[in-house]
Amino acid sequence: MSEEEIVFEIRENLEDAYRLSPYAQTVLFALAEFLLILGIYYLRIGFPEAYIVWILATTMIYPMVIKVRNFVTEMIAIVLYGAAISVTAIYLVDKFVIEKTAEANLWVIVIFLLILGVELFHHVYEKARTVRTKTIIIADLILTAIFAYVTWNLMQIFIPGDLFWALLGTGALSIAYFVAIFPEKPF
Amino acid sequence: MNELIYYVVSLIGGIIAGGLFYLSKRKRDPILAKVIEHLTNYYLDEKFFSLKKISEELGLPQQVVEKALVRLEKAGVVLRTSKGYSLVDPLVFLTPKDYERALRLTKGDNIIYGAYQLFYTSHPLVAIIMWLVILAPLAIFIAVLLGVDYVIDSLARISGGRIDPLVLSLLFIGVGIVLYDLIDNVVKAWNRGKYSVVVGFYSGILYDLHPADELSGRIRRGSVARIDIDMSPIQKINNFFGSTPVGDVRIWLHGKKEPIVFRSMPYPRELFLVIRSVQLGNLAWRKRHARELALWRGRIYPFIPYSKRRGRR
Repeated sequence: MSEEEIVFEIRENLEDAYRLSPYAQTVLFALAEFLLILGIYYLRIGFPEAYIVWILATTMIYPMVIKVRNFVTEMIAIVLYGAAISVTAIYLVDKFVIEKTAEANLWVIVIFLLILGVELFHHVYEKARTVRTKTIIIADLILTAIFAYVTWNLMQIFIPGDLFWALLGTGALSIAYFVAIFPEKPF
Repeated sequence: MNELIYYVVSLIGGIIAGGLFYLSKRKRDPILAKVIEHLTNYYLDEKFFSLKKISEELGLPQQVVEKALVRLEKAGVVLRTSKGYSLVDPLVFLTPKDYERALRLTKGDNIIYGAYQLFYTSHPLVAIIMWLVILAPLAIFIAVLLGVDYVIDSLARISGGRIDPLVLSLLFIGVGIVLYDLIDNVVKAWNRGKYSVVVGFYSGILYDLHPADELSGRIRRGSVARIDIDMSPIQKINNFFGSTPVGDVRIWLHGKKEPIVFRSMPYPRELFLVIRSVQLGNLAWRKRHARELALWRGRIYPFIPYSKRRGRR
């Protein structure tokens, strides 16, 4: 058997063989965006909520559909992430903490932002989700410590004086949070 | 707050994130590239190599080469053993522990593919559970947004009126996201170490028959009659939108009607090619593409494409 018979054409990126073509990815993304805008328009969502829904949904859709990996596509994903998380944070704090001055709202929003911030980042940047570097592990530990502190404060509002359940709840949720955000190999 | 502030904050957030990404994106490391090139050119078929030897051959200080090797070890490109360093083949997706086990059981054979059968990626039940933990809280959030009284009253009762129902529904979404990722991570970790498939150049295909198995399933090189790849609709959707491409690989043996099926193998096309090359006894393609595969496998820096030139090389 000559070598030519088993010359395998391994593409520049192994994953290309399994993905849609870049053209199909672009068309699909455009279609998803069209449907998203149509949905927002149909539901008559006002501004700035419509913008927040659009930017959050786009940040989630983009990495799922666009599988071309290069500096530009990664940069777009990260810019979308920054724009989405910053506007979500300021909106929630403004509407539910400053305007309503409820302490419990504050803790819940901080918990939500800690979860959304990390998980959305993992969604847009695969490396943070799969590679265990010292920096990422330290960052995860710090985030978990903040999460535990905030959860503990929330528990004090929900079940004041019940130390056992407050400790158990905080511990269980914090461990779940740490395991969820800790990088895991994709295969 | 003025509505315009939101858009300004969003714009600034995007610019800052993009700027940080640009600054953190390291340029290609020439020393790392040199080490990979040297290893894939001269050590692909060597069992072990030492830091001192590589350092001498490359004319680089030992500390510099050691730093590069540590990075490659983290990326899974090399493995540090008691006998020295070993270059892991680029299509080996096993944990270091399982890779060493495979080396031991194949008596140090040249292992050119190793991975786990990722059952969960194509299992409808897992997919339903994972989507439920995301969609159920999302449905609660939408119900609150649309002003469904029953849901709003229920949420108000749960929090005793201390938390805004909309904010509480956000907490549910957050818990749903954590649960989704938690299940995903736990299932992956559980899946790893079970049902591994290893292809050695001389030993053929070895695979686990049950979770506590030690690669007792064996297909010899000469006994493979036919190989095929099959992808279910769920696997196809996963391959289009998910992170790791998977597919079933079917192997028919001489004299047997029913094939042996390896389910949801990562990079099934590459497994197919590896088995074909082992069957034909020719690994020339591996040497030719080893460097690029190692770069891709390590995800150390953006993949460097091959020449687009067609034809013989």
